[in-house]
Amino acid sequence: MNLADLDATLGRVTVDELLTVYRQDLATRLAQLRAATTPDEVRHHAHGLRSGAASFGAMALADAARDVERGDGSLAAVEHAASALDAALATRLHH
Amino acid sequence: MLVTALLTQQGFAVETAENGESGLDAARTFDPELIVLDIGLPGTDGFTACRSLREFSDAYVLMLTAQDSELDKVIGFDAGADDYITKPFSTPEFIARVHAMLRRPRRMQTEPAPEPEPVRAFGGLVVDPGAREARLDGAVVNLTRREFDLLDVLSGSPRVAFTRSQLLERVWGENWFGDDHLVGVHVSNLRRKLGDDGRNPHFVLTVRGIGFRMGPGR
Repeated sequence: MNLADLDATLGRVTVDELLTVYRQDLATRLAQLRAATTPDEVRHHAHGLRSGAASFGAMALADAARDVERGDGSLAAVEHAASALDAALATRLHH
Repeated sequence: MLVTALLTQQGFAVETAENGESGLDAARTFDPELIVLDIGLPGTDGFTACRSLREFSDAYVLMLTAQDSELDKVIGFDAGADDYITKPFSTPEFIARVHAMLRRPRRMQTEPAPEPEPVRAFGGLVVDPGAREARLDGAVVNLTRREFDLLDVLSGSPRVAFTRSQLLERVWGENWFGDDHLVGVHVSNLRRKLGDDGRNPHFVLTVRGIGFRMGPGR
């Protein structure tokens, strides 16, 4: 997802609203993944993280979540990518 | 969320559902023209939801997925999806695909009922365009709308070898925003349902360097 395209289509204000909601969703899904105790729960929450991240073109997080979903990734890699994404979102939303 | 914003901005009235079951309920209630279906839905997955949807709705279905595998596309089209877009998608492409889909009138709603065409037989396969039904050795073959349209075009001119582009235009419409690869995926599904071996087909033949034409059957 090219945010410039999205800004051009929806306007910066709307996109920022979407990103704000997405940022909250990201935190929720990350917490759910951390709390997951069964392989099915891990797959389910990793898929949700991957799907949301891919929607906004956050491919580092999408790829890390995909690896966890497939059973060969690490939560640490997801946390790292999510942290970087959250920082990028914070920067964008505070400008 | 993002899809809702994009469609709303384009002037569409949008209803959203958070899982497959509520999506099917919403489709029954609102009878939408187009459904953007995320295959990674919680609960009933998108493929299953699409199959259930096809039991009562002819809405265009655009499948949305974080996955990009050939198998997903085959399953998605087999379930009755009309098109497929992978995340991350470009905003202009998403909007263009939606508009291209909606420019194509749904045949059953917009065209007057034509005179029934005669049935066509290819060995054990009988294609009845009027009834939009295909039977193989007497048993109805459960084809999606696209698969039947493809079979209808091929069987309607059995001596003509169609290029993929020609089939794309005739089955999906001239305004379709997609690639020729779509045709190959649907031909594979059609062959499988007709019990045809892709390496030695009897019904849908591959014309090397061109595309496909109808075979004599078996």
